[in-house]
Amino acid sequence: MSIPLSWYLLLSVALFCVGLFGVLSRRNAIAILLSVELMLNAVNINLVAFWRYLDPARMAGQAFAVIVFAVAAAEVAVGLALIIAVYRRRKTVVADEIDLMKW
Amino acid sequence: MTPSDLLSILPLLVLVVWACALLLVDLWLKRKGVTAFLAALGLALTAGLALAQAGEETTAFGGMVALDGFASFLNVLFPLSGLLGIAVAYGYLKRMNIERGEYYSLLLFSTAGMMLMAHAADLVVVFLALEFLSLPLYVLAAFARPRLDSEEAGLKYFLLGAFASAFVIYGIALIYGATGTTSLSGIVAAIEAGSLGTSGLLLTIGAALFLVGFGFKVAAVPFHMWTPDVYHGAPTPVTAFMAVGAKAAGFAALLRVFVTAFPALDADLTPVVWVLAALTMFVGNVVAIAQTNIKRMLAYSSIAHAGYILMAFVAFGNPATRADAVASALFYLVTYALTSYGAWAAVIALEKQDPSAGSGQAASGLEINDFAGLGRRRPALAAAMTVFMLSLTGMPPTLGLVGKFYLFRTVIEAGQVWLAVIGVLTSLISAYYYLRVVVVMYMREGAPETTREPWLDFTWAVSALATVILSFLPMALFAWASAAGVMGF
Amino acid sequence: MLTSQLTWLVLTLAGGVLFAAFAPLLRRRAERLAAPLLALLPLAVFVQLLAALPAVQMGETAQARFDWVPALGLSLTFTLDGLGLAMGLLIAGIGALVILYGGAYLHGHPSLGRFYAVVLLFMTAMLGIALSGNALLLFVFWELTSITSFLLIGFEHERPGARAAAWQALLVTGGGGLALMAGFALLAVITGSFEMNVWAARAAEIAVHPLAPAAFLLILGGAATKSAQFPFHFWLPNAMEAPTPVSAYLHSATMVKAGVFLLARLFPVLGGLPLWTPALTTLGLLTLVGASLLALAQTDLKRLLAYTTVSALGMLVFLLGLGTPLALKTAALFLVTHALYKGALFLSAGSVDHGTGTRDIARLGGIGRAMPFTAAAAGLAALSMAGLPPLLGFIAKELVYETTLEAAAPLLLTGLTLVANAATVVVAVWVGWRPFWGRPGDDHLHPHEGTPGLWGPPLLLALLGLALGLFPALTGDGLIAPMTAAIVGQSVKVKLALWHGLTPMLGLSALTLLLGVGLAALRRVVQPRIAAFWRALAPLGPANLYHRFVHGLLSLASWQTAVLQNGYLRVYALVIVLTTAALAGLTIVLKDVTLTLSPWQPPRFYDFILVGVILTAAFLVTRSRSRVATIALLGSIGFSIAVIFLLYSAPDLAMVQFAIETLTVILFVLVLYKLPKFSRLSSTPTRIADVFFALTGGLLMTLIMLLVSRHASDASAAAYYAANSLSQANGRNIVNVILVDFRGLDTLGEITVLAIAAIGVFSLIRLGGKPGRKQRAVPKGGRTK
Repeated sequence: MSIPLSWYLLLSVALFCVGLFGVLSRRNAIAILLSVELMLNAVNINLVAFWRYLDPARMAGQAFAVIVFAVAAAEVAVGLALIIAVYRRRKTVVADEIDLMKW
Repeated sequence: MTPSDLLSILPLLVLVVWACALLLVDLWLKRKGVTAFLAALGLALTAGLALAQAGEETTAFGGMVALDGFASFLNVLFPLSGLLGIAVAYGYLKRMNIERGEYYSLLLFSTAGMMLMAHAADLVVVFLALEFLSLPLYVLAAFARPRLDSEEAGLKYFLLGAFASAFVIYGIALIYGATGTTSLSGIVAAIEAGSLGTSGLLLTIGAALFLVGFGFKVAAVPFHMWTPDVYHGAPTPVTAFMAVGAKAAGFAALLRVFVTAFPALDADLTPVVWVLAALTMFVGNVVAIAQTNIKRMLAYSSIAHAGYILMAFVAFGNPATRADAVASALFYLVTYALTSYGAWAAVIALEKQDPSAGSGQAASGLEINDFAGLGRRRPALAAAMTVFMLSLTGMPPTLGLVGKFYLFRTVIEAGQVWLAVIGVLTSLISAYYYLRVVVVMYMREGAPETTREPWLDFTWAVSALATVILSFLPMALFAWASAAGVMGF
Repeated sequence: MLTSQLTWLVLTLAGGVLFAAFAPLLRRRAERLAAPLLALLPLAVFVQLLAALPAVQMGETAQARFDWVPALGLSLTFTLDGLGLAMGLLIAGIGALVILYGGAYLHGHPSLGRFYAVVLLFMTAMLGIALSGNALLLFVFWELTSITSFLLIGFEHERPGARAAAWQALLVTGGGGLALMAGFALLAVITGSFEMNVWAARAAEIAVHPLAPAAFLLILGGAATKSAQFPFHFWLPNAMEAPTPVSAYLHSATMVKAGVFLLARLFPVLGGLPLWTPALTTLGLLTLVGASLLALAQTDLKRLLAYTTVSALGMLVFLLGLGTPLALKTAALFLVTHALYKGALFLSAGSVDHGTGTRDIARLGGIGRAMPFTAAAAGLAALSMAGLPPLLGFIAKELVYETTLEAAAPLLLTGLTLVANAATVVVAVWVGWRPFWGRPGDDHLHPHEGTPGLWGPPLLLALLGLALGLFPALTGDGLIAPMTAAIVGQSVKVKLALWHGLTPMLGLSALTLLLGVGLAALRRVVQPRIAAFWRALAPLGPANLYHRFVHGLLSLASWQTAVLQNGYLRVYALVIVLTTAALAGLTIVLKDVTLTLSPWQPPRFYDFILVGVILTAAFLVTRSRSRVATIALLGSIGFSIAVIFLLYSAPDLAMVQFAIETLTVILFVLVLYKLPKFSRLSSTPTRIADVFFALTGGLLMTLIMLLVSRHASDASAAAYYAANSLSQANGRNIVNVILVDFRGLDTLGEITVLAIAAIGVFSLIRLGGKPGRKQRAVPKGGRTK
């Protein structure tokens, strides 16, 4: 407990921004999805840090974090299915089009 | 979790269970018409149950869920919009060769998510509902596979939607960090306790991020850019459902959270909302002028209408106008839902699979010029479309006029005269592109091929009649929206 | 008594709308009978209004009220007073004639039924304006007249000119209507009501309110577009694309008077504003003089009449602007006079067109012998227009001069009015005399008189102008006095007479006539010069500005579509990020907060490692081109975060994180196995830009985080959960207990979300599983933009 809260928050911010950078710079749908995942991870760090430092007695922060995980996983599943679906068509239609879409 | 908890969200539960059952039943059903019928039955049942709940005021699940006038109003609106979503889709899916039972279950799930949103009294529930309603929509947008544009629409909607969700949840995390709670009443209590200090800033930023994320959902400028692409690519019935349901749900969340939890942030948020509303109305309406494709035109129109509804939010800080802010937004949502569904139904009636293209190609019949000669070929349909266009513009004798009037009045009463003036001026710009459709239908020669499907015809006919008749007799709707304007929590 | 008459009138109108809907059917069934039958509706209204006239002359007014949305101040209030009644008589009377005339003029036209229906609908809306007591109701009717006018101008929509003119008129007048609405809304803000009599009762309060000038200007904008005042006048001459009966009815006698009518109606409300007189007189004079000079450049009968209509409207606005009782009386008289003679002239112009096939005054001449009735109607109306005794026009012109001579700047005003009036005389000669008795410019006209339906209505209107002129006292007491009383708000004496003795006004009238007739004779000299002058000015004209504005709006819209709406998701995402950063940054700047860093405390050794791992891995995720490496990196981030959770003594959470991270990695690996390598598609400069944008966002967020301070929390809830979880829920794992039980709803929802995800994935994968169909190459246009 020696580290101030702001350090964890900064870590979260850094992660969020790297994710942001990924979303902006990657052209591949999968990579973008990965970057969004990074951003969600950043949120989780935030949640847990807030919980730990501000309100350790109540479990709301933790419960919320669990929900974020689960929802993120669901999102990933749907996203990957979409990507595969699109890719299957694109691959057979335009062979040299590596990217899935304009990004 | 007590029985009374479950009872308070009974319509929602029934809908979820119904959707799950439908998914299973569908596996054994050869005729998808039965699935559609069952889905409609479920929605009708839900709407009936929600109607029976009207007037109840309670909270459940430890204050995470609220049942009040606001929730019961929307809980009737959402299933009804789902019903129309089935009515316009039934023939379309068959015609486009994409008739699959999942459409109906996914639509039911998404509707359930919207209803959860109406109940939400806790930010966690808001987030959950957001995902609940969005995930099926992502899939629905890609539903016209193997049409490339539909797949692409689904993927685009998903990627940007996930991105926006990240903003929402980051905002919620910051709000949690600032107040130590996610329940709306808890947030108010924390603000009123006055112990926030510099965390007040954190709260404001959290609220701003929340606004950004939901700005995406309701398609407010500058978070609107996915809208034309997705609305264009998605199968038209899905677009109609998205344009009405998802937007209404997004506004439900914003209204609930702003009005119950954020009145104290009024000074910070009102200018932001003011600018967003003005920008949204301006960009949406101006850009719509340049569109030649009816789906894209209606997409921009839906952006513009998000701007009009956002206007109501400038009144949320003032206790005197707060109830009116909610009621006028809800009233306008109903207006928009009716009109928009009607217009989309007319679009669907003209849409057809392009015979010259392969299976992966887009549909045709979607250019505004394809409406030429409709006045002669299908007088009733053209008249209905004229009603919708007039209503979207806000002209008499349609419900759109009453809705706009109520909105403008609320905005003016909140002291934001200039925003109302911008609203009027942009309505004037919008007349240009809405009435152009009317001109094309009546004044250009053409022979549009249209589809006659009983349920589709039912949708536009009922919407048109309701739009006109309710404009003369809006009292009941008005009273109901006013009752919903007073939130329990 | 009067109230019940008004109620009946409103009910007649409501029935009339239904009646109108059957007009096309009626026409198909009984071509010959349709016009007389349909004319019965306006006739019925006319008679009802006449029956109400005596009571109104006694100074009575009536109100009838039907509730609409009382809570919003929306109620359908109709009033009947002298002004509305006179207006109603004109609308209904000319309406009946126009229906009869239209049946003859458009005889055999395939869309005649539509013509009847829309004209009747228009008439209802126009009567609605005349009788509205509630501003919102008036607005509704106002916009309805714009729409019906649009439909009627575009009646012959095969011609592109008609379409363009219809469109232009709709945009200008419909847009003005919205400005009007905004003005009404402001007045409602001031007074809390949309009832116009409430406004009138609180005029003093309105006059000093800071919002009043804005309300006035907005309303003036609405009135000016409708009544074709400068610089919005250009739509009216273009609207001559409409069939002639429409031009006569809408675009000279009634609809264009709506703006003037509204200004008169609101005179008791806004007349007290200091802006009223300067704004209206300037606007009116500009329009009056400009339009009458523009008229001289025209050679088409209808356009000549259209421009003089604009100038007459300018005259009316000018008179209302002066606002003296005399000016208002003059305005009332002039309104009626103009409607009568201009309606007659338009209808006879249509008859000439019908009989000869042209409306060009250079070609027309000497057709009076072949078309005697039309010639009589046009001649009589032209005499009234030129202001000769004993016609109504003469009395009106005398009054106009009397008013200007009494006004503040008599010389200037009288001079300008004289110029305009002289131009009006010129036009009167050109349209009323020259085509019939002048030298023919073209010998192949073969003129012939049409059916009585074509010359009867104009002759009737012209004779009415004569009759009212012959009995000036009756006209003054019976019609003009109640009108003026309604405008002023109290009873007024109106004494009209043909002969006042040798007054300055008589001299001015004579001078006007002399000037006018002289100029008219010099047509071949005058006309080309004036036409050349206006042509030179055209690029600066408002019509051109209008085109530029519409064009500019269109190009702005296409520019936005091309540049921003380019289909690239990254641009969309970028816009979201930048806006967010701007929002957050603005908040910080506006809040003017100072940074305080928490005191430094050395982190533990493993903190460094964890943070290092997370950040390095995160960065590499966004850079790496290897698929497996990327996934592995993402996994390592997830696991590091799980370790942090462990350090926070949140083992349950860490377990969940581990499980889900593992699942995610597996999912990704499975998918990536099927996809090709990532390739680097963006150039270095764009990457640098991306870094910059991400950093902008990042720095702002960092700032915010630094601003966060600890704050105390109350521990009571914690104690509650800890104490109760074991006993009540029989659970040991606190988080799980909370998830399952205390926050049961979240968990329910979460499970459902997962289920939906599963369904979605299932439906997507299942569909993809059968790619058996024939596939084609994608053409460029196949992609959505």
